[in-house]
Amino acid sequence: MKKWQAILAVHNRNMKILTRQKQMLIQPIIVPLVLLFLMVVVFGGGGDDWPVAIVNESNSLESQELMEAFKDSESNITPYFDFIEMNSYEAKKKGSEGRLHLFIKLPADFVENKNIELKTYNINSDAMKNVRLRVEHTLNDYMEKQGALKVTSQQVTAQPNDVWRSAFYGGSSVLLTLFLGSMIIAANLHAFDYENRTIKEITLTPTGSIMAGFGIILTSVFVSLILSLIPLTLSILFLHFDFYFYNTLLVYLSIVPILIGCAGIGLFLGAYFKQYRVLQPLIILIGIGTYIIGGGFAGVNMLMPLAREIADIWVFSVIFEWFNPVLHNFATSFSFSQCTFIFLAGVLGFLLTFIAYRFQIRKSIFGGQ
Amino acid sequence: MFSAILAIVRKDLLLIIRKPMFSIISLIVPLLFIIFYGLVIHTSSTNPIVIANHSEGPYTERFVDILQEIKSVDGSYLEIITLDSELAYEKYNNRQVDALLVIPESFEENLHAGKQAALKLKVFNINSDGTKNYQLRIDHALYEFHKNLNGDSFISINEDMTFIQDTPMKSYVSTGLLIFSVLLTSMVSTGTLMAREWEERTAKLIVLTPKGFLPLIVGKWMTALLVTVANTVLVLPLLYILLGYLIGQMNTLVWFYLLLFFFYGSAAGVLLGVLFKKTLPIVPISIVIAMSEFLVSSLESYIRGFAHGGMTEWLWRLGSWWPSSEIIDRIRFTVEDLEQIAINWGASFYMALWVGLLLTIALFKLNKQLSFTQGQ
Repeated sequence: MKKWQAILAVHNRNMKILTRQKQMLIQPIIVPLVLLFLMVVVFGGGGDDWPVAIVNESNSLESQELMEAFKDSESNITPYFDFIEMNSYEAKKKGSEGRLHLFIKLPADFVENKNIELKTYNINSDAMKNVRLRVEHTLNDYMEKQGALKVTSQQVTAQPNDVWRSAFYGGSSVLLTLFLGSMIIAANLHAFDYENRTIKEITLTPTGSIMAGFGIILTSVFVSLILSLIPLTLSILFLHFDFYFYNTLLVYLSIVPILIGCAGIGLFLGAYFKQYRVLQPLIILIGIGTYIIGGGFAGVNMLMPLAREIADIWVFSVIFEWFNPVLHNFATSFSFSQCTFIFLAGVLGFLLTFIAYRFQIRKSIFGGQ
Repeated sequence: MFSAILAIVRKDLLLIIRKPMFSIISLIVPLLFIIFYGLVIHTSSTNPIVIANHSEGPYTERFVDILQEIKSVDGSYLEIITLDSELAYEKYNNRQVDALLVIPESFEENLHAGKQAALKLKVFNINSDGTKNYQLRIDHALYEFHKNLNGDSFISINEDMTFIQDTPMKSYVSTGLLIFSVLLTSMVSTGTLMAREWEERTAKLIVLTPKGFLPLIVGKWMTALLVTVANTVLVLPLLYILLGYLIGQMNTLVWFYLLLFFFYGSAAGVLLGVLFKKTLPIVPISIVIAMSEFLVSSLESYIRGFAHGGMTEWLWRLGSWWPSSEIIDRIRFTVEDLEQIAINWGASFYMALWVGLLLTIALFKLNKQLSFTQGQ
């Protein structure tokens, strides 16, 4: 009973520290949100429609039909093109300034030569891949309608609707907040004791310093769960995130052992490095690195072979690889091996906490502490 | 004055030697970020796929060849993991790959008979970007396949490009990553060196010296410059190895611009250090600033083409008003040898103004807080 009281007392103290020292919450809130915002805005979270200019100089039925094909061309979520300029002079101007990547012209002799003209601002290969392949997709559609396409492709998707890339980033941001939050809050709270010279009181308590570690785990997991509601709400409101109550609940319940594991790692790192200035870049890097190559930005299956091999070894990638499919209703349960791993992650968290505080006890405390 | 600056540099270097962990981590963070980004950038060019090929014959061979050949300047569009039908289904069903292309048995005979053949593309559509990429790549292969097949009914494309060639995406982002590294290292180094004076209760002695604030700021900058140079020496070979960055093309102008970015990062670091006086918020804020510069300013010339309406346009406008984007493009074009570039005085002056503004605010803040309590 006394031990539970000690854990709750440390948790209450930690909550007070976090409400007073709000800068401790900056990292788990700001890093995932800024990453989410930038990813959505920079990498086209709004959809697949690419702004282009188009001009039809051929007064023919064929060119009209091709114009219609360009208008009808679409991905599984949005049209492929957004025609923002149809004036030839303005289109050329915007194209040369790089304000548009593509200017499509159906020339006057379109019917005779079966040819279209593209003016591209080829600033990089990614932009060009996006515009050129969209044009070819549309020409295929057009030729198919004309009965001129000998081979067609039919797409069959695992779920009826695609998860918007913005929603995928949103889900990843929720998971990043959870695991980065629990790790960095635990590390910060440990470093707080060191930097504010209260480590002596914690270490020499008769209840055992490990209770302070459990208190920190409780706070870290609790606060990260609360903080993750921010990106979750924003994703539901603005990022086409389809909310599945059962799946979300399952994710939030089953991720707790992993959060305990992350908090344990945070405490271990806190005990080893002691200072904020060393801990923070390290933990933020683990978070952002996992987000980038561990399935947060794009699924691990989409990465290059070397990155896939790294992700196979990098255990944190399971956070995105296992929980994102559940969050987006591509899975409704975890396998036995996944459950075992999740359970072991929790055990590891407690083990690391134990090691961190044993490690602390063995050290003498100097410098006024 | 000079001896005061040297004393600060010597003291900070001594601290770095005695407790090198923070400096080592400061050097490692940008390196690892570059490695991570270098690994993920291939996602935009190459997508892994398995192919279940049930057909045999010249048409099938030609189509499979096309699937293997299609590429951009960055590399192949598709990484074909297997052409073995059984293995392909196994890998797709076990979720080891997100796309499976089925070439049916009837493919060859239908084409021989002049009938239409249909392929099936199965996609695990958890991210619409991946679904779109697979669809467009297969369509590209089909378009290429029909070039020799259709004759009169095929619609061809004439393209007029602005630049002689597409800049590979990995080269395009390399310049941004280099700037990210310079900015982050200079900002974190200067910011934490400043904040450390308050955290270790030595600020009073340094701030109240009759020499003024100049030795403090210049001293911190010099130490940060050494760390940033060390970092750049490590980053450049990494960019060359991982992303093929053309280090040999970096001329004096490029180095001048990098120095300008160092001043910008260091001025921001001084301000952050003076504002917060604690390292706790400095590191994440510096990371956010450096990442924003990377994703917004360094990609400005890319974002410009699709920033029409909404938050993207708003963000692009913000990035285009910032001096960084223009300078980063200058560095990029120089290194890629796309244009003969002269110094951009306008952007350089604007950047210098910005550095001056950050420093002025920092000095103002320092002047306002000359009283010390609790032993400081």
